[in-house]
Amino acid sequence: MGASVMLEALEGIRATLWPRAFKRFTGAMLLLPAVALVLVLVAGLAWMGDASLHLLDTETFETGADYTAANYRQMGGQATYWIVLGRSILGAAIVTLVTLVLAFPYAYVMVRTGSAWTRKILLVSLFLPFFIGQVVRAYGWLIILGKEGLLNSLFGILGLGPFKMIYNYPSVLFGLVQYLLPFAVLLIAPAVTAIDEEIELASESLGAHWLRTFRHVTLPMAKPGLVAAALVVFTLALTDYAMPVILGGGTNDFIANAVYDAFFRISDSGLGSAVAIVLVLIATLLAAVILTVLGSGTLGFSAERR
Amino acid sequence: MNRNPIDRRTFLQGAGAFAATLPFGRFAFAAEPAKPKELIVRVWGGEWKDAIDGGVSQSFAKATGIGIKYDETEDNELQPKLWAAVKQKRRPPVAVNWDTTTNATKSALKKMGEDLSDLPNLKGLLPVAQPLGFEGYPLVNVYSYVYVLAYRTDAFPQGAPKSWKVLLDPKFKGRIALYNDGIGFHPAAQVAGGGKVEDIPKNMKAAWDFIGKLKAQKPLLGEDPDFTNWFQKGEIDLACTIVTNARGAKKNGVKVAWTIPEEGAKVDTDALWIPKGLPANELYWAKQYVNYALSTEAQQGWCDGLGLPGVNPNINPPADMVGDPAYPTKPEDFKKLIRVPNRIQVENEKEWFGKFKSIMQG
Amino acid sequence: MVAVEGVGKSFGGTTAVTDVTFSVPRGRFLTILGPSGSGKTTLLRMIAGFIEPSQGEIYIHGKPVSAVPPHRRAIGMVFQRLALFPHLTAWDNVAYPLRMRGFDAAEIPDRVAAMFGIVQLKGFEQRRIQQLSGGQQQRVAIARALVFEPDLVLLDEPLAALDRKLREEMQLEFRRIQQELGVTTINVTHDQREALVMSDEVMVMDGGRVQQLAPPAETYRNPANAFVATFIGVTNFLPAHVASRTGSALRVRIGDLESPARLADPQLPTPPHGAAVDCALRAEHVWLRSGAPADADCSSSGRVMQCIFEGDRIVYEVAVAALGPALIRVIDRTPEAHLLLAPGAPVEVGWNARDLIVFPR
Repeated sequence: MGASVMLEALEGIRATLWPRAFKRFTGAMLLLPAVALVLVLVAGLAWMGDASLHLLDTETFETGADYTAANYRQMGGQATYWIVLGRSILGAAIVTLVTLVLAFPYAYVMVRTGSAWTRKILLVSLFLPFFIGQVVRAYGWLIILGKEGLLNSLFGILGLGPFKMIYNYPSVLFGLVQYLLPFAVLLIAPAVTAIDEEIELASESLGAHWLRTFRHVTLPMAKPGLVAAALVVFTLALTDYAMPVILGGGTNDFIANAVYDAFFRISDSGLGSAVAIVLVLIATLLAAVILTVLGSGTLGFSAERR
Repeated sequence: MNRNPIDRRTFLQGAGAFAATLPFGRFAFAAEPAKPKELIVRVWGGEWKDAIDGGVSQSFAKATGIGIKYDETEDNELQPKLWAAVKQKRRPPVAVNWDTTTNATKSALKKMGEDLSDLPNLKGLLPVAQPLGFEGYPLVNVYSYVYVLAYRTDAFPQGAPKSWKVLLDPKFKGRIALYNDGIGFHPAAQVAGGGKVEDIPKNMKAAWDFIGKLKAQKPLLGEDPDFTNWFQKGEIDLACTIVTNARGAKKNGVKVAWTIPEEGAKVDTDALWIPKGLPANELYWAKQYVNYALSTEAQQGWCDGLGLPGVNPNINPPADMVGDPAYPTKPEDFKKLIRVPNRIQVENEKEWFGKFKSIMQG
Repeated sequence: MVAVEGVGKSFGGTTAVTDVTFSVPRGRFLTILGPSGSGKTTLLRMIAGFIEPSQGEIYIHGKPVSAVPPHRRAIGMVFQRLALFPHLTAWDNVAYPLRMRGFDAAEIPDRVAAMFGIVQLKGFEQRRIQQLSGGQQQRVAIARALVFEPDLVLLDEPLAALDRKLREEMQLEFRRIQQELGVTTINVTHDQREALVMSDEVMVMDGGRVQQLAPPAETYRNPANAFVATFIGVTNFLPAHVASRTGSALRVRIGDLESPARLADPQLPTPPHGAAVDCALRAEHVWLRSGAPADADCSSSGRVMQCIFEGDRIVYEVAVAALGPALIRVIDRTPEAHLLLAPGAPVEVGWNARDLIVFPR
């Protein structure tokens, strides 16, 4: 009774604030926060685009008023940026490949296992790293893989080592794979769930052993999830900052580190913006290539789901 | 860690006398301006924060009743925020910025800081306290520090290495460390590479060649906390770092010592400055804070914590630094130290940085 | 062709299938009929090779197959949810087993085309699965299961999801194809009508055990036990006592009535005088007359309680005072002058001795 009176009152307020005639705008209103967020991002990008076109005067530490492409020229002319760029793209590609190869069986077993316990354990080990955070995890690897770390002390007991396992390119990639694996699993799992187990049984009964079933049925049907995972993992790896800093030992920078250095270490926001803009363009371009070649996956832009 | 607590009365007398000496200006109040509840000071964490807290802030707070809060944002990261705030005439995020002299010089060039010329405690400081190339004091240098060659004593049973060239010894491949922007290493590399200090910045081929050879040694590149950490974890044997970090590691029980090799070592300074845009009363008390930080009492406590020579000539070195070449007091100590004017550093930093990166990231 | 001998399966502690033995000769159509949980699907999956039996052995062409993985068994299967490959065209779905089983690439198109002819899907070859109707999808699934000429085809209730009209059409359609190709088939269903319409033999299962294995008419006319009698057709169950027996002639007492009856299995010994038994009486074997007494071996008067008109038949529920409180279900396929008897109408009900089937308890 009281509740219904209250509901009616609330409905009255709603009717005054948002008359029925506005109803067709309700959908648009719900989109507003997302649109606002995107607009802020676009504004930030526009600001950076503008900043990238002004040159810093190191005598006064003021940026010039004139528009110039000098920052881009400077960047293009410096081998460091090309090396760092190449390292980031190659690294992101390797990380994507390895992550997908590891994530797929994980997601598959998590979805298909008949044991509730196995599923729970897999889920918990998947979500736990999310609560820990990237930087802490990276430091964890320092403790485990360092010269006097856990692994080397175990090797020591066996009379081996110590081995240098951190502060190099492979350790950065390793850290990235470990960091991005949960993202990939979470994006692939729904795609595996969508594959009726009967379809795999059908393939077997039609004469395909498990490997061919995997290749001809499971993999093509899971493609949407794999594409989504590849896209997310690739862009996150390409733009990562923390892993190269913490596990790279200072000599394995990615582009984001170059952006940071320009902004904060040499206080050159123009050059930093130019590097950042180039990074955004390359990431967008590569994402577009992935989408064009492989389709949009579960991130779906097309209305027709195949 | 409350060293040299000063008597509240002594402090207030000082402040009163300070106001009385100025016939006009904003300090000529009969009464002090209203005290803010707290002042925010930007600091580096760890050893650094403990030192300023024990040496300066605690006794300042006790004497004035103004609490000191710390902002531990990296100096490089706070810088653009400070600049934006001053430019937009907003209240800056910190009242006092403890900064490298290089970064503080950049801010001074952009006229971001309040002039500190009227601080009474500037009188009698070492000349190094005054920033070069400016009228007045848009910043004040507070102590010097040396980029020493720190080493693990276990790796050098014969005693300290003599030359920076030890970094090229294949024995130490993968076990040496530098700052990730190469800061503090250029002059040493210039001399070790066979060049002359006077040629900086015009001809630094010797330095770049030396750094190029160093790249093959697979150095680790990091920042202040990394060095202490790496020594502790046994990752490195040698590092070019500020003596404070090596001393920190040593205090933590790591077997570390440091030396100034025959080629010499770079000496640099850190500074305090006050960004423009503070309310008048807060500015007054921020200046009092900086002024107090330059006093003999505060300098003694602060620099004891850091193990660095302050700009106040009346302080005594901490016991463990007496006779240490990294705590220069005698003329022959100073001979081995190389000073690069901050203006030259500011103007060339970007290029040096780019060169260093292109060698190390290649 | 296919022989199942003493096969059982338990998962953890629960037993799904117990000691099942049967065989299907070449070209015959067997339906396994049972409610859900009766073990029929488990049995089918053991034959397909997806599940390994806990006991017993399955033979195909006389050879034990327990150690043979599914993809090496020459078995075509049509799945409950069809399990067509959505990323392939209808053509590629049907060609899939031929490619996987290493058929000569040159002969694949002819075989696939022939199969599209048999299932009457010509012209739909290049459609994607989602672009086909439910019935067309059924045909693709059937074509895919048959195209490689398997020794045996298994149907795992593929028609269950269809609406009734389409389902009945597909039942006849599949029976036609099966007979045309002469392929040995095992079908699983819970639909008694489907079992009776399609099969050469029906195997009724319940609780993981075989209840009856017989031709459809036999399971209908001579249910082996009370479960089969209930599961197939609409049956009235009446508790009774043996009133008398003279040779093979048996009389039972149901409530206040005494009626001649027959024993379900003449092989079994006749229960003694006074023994409690269950009598099954199919609803369509009950005579119903308004006014005149029923022309039957036993009759009594009652009152219509409910009348359900189903078009080709009328289902009545009748209270018969002499039989006690339970209502008697009657199916009338020849309603008098299209007249429905309204609830409350007085009627005469009756039945013949051969239709009152006695199951000893």
